[in-house]
Amino acid sequence: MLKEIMIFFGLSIDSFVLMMNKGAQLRNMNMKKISTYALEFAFVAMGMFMFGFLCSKPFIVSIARVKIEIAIACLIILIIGTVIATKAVLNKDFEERLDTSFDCKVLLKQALFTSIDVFFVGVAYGFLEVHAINALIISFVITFLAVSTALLIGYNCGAKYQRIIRLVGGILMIVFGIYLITTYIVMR
Amino acid sequence: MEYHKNLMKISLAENLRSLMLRHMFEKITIKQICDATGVIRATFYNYFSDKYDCLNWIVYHDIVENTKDYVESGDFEKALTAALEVLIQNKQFYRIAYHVTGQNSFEDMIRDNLRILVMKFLEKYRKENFLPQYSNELLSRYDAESLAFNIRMFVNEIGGAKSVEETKQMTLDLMKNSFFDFADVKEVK
Repeated sequence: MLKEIMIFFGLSIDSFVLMMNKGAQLRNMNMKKISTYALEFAFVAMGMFMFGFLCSKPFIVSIARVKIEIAIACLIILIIGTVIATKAVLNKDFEERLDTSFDCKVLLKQALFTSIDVFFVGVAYGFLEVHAINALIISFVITFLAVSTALLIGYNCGAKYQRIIRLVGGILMIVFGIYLITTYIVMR
Repeated sequence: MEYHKNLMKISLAENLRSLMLRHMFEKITIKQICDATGVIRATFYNYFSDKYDCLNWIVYHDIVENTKDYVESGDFEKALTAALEVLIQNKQFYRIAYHVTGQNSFEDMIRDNLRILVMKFLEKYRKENFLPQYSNELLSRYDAESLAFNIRMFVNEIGGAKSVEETKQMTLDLMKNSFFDFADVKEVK
């Protein structure tokens, strides 16, 4: 369970930074806004994970290929971590500007975009043939909490710490990817 | 209520001005401005849409608001002097502000606000039937360009430091006289 928490914590970083920026652009904040944003992101994350998990099934063919599939799964996590950490270094500083829009459609697109990595982790879970239910619940809860927290931090403190947050999330995923490779490939 | 609103706006703007003397504009956050003012972060958005908007308001306050009495009386010379005096009092700030470039450059803010000032004069005191084919919009843009040039020279001491009086005189001389007054060329009919 701790593994799932770590993975989804790292995965929620993109959504976290996005919503921290959103919080930094809001004139006023209320529970309705927080819940709407958080639920939208949480459901999308859960949906993308499930979609990825189901997409992996046709590719699980033979026992002989198991190591390759596991390796792919571990690499996916490693790559996602590297991409997140790279974004931390390369992305420009976010410009804090008032945003009066509250468009659920725009938010849905953003939620889908930031959940692409969750799709790939769903694929990875499918290859690793682990139970998806725990992961689904954890992905929902962590995404919900991450988005809610991010909105509050952005609203009260601004979007200053996004680089550090992205870097921490990326490094976490890289470390976990290396751990998985070591556990599932090297040690077996 | 209006008085308090204006006071808060001035307070936020003045704190941005002070922060710019110590930090790069790009690194200043809205939270820093609000902390300096003693308000919560979201309050900033009740007055400005972003820090560029706040910076623009500082320029508007110094160039347009500060000279509105002279607009009313039609005294361009005194309006120019008043604007230059504010600039010289805040010279360090303006020098630093000129480093704000890009899409929302400080130079554009200066130009836009000078255009507003010139437009206010033209709207009230434009000579009737004198070259009516040139709109107030065109004239204000044209004059704002040359005024912005003079202000840049004055603030950054390009060509040597000049006093308010010298800069004012130079500006008025350049505005009153055309190229054909300076150059003995074949005059265009």
